Amino acid sequence: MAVRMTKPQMINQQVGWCGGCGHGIIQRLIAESCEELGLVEKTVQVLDIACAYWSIDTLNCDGIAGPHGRPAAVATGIKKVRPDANVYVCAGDGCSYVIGLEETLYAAARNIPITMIVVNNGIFGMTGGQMCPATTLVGDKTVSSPYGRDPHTAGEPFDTLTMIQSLPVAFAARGALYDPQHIDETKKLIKKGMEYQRDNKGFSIIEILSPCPTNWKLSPVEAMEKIKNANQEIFPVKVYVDNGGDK
Amino acid sequence: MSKEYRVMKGNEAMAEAALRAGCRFYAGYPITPQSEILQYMSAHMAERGGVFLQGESEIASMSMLWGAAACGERVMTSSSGPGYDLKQEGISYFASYNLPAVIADVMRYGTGDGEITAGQDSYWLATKGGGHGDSRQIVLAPASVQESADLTYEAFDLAFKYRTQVILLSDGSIGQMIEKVYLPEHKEHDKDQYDWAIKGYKKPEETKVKVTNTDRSMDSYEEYNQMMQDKFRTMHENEQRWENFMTEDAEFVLVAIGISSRVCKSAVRRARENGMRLGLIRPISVWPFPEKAFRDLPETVKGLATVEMSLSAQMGQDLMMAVRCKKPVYSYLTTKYIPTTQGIVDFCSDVLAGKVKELEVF
Amino acid sequence: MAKAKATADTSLCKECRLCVSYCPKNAIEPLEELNAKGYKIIRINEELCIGCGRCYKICPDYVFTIHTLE
Repeated sequence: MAVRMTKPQMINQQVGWCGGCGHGIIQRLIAESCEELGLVEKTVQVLDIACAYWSIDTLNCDGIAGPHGRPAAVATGIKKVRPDANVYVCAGDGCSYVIGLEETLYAAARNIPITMIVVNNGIFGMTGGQMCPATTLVGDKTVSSPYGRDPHTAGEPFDTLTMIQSLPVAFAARGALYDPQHIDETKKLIKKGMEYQRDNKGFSIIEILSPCPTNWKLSPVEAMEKIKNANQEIFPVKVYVDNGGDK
Repeated sequence: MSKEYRVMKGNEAMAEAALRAGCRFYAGYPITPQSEILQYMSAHMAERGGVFLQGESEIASMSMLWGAAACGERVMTSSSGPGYDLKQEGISYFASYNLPAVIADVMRYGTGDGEITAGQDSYWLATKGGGHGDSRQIVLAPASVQESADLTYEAFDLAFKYRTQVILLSDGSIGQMIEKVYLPEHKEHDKDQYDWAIKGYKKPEETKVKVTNTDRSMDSYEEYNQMMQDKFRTMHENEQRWENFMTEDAEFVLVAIGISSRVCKSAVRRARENGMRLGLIRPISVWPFPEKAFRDLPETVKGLATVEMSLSAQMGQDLMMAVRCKKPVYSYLTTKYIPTTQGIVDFCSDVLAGKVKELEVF
Repeated sequence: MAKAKATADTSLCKECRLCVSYCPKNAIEPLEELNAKGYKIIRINEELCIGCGRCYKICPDYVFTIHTLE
């Protein structure tokens, strides 16, 4: 018997996330992408201090976690000093689109050749399930929107990738984890982002619709259904920008 | 020391000295009265092969710096007043993983927006540990354009010697002042020499660098805590710097930094012309505060006074601790106004005539 | 005859049951039995498994390995 699929070697420890959390799947997609592109030895992971942080020990590469919300700026500093490294960011939607929206947009505006992976789980996971102003759907109940998100007081979620679409980036796309087919598609997006970085095409961002069953207070299977039936209605799975080809 | 000199602003001298010290990464955000540092870097960083970035904020600039410093690069940023507030998040992170950086604070006066003119009331913010948590940074206070260059140049070596952050605590006057300055030699920095730095290339069997909230190469928080305390103690012991000016026979000693210390020198001379024996101790390091300078004060000294451009006696409290209540301590506080020579002389006359209360701590 | 089979390291399992739902052949059985971490585990029915890898792809905890058969 030969092994056809097994845990990537780059993942060298058990993962620390809750059962059914999408972060573990995303970490696998990142590790497989690095391995398949031959980039493991050049990879530097830039993490946010929230749930994405758990990768700091489980992925066998240099890693850095800086102030909450700032990984796009941290990655900018690293890429400028180590231009040959495969510098990717893995951070949540609170980090990338709320407290760190400015850093995310300016990394995109400068077209820094880094790959940014944004975990859109529609909630602040690590802090205990508060509303994420950028991504929690209208009506969704969280511990800081206990009656459901009210757009009159909390505004509406918005699609950051449409903003990034107006900037001169190499690649911007959204994937989802709600079934194996979409997981495979998402991996292709990550690989494309890293390939564009390798080829110095510019900034790439891959947002991933990911479940947080613990804070959504749903079973992992129900959480996947919610992404399929509700979240992707607001946050469509598609490629927004692909400027990496020959121009 | 090379004989190459130029006539420059204090701010420009800092930037040029940084480049000569091997600084190859600068990120910052403009704010008066320090923008010449950023502007000088924007003009001259590329010709040295370095990276200049005008950040979208102070916070982002510090984060860019954090990434670059984690790669072993010699990095610098600069700010003032409200901008320096925003550096605090970054300073705390730098401190947590012991990353070297040089950060200039060209002080302006006041709370909130305050004024764009010189001040010294950010002394506490600079000297009492940056940001949340508990850390110490070496803080050096230049009092001339020459010293702006010299201390900046040395700051990079200190930052790497101790893996610490070095704050250059200048002020709006010293930063804007134009003087002749002898510039130090150019030197190059090898960013690949550190085992704690991200290199961007690692074989599978090599130990990976994890730059995060503590140094994870250590086994426990206890080991980390001990290392940090030892570092603070060593820096405190080794890096006290000051200048004595006519203190040997002084009956009263002034203590001041930056622009205030220059006026104090004039006041010392004028007072002595009139028979009042003033002296000056000018701290060059303000953390560590040069306590050794006050250990063996001459018997003749009846008291000491800080001269500070602030509302509160900020350095005055450090002075009280340094003299350990063995001599009376006073403070002459001139807030947003640069002290005048006669104002300082008159204040000292009043103190010696018993008309001034000792410093109250509040 | 299937050309591949899944095996599971259930010590890694966190009881999310995603594999149970996403298996196209209903070959993964949820058990009441606990692993060392205290999570309920699963068992693969080798007779039904076709080695398609959907469990590998959906599992956040890398429980599954897919082997090709000679």
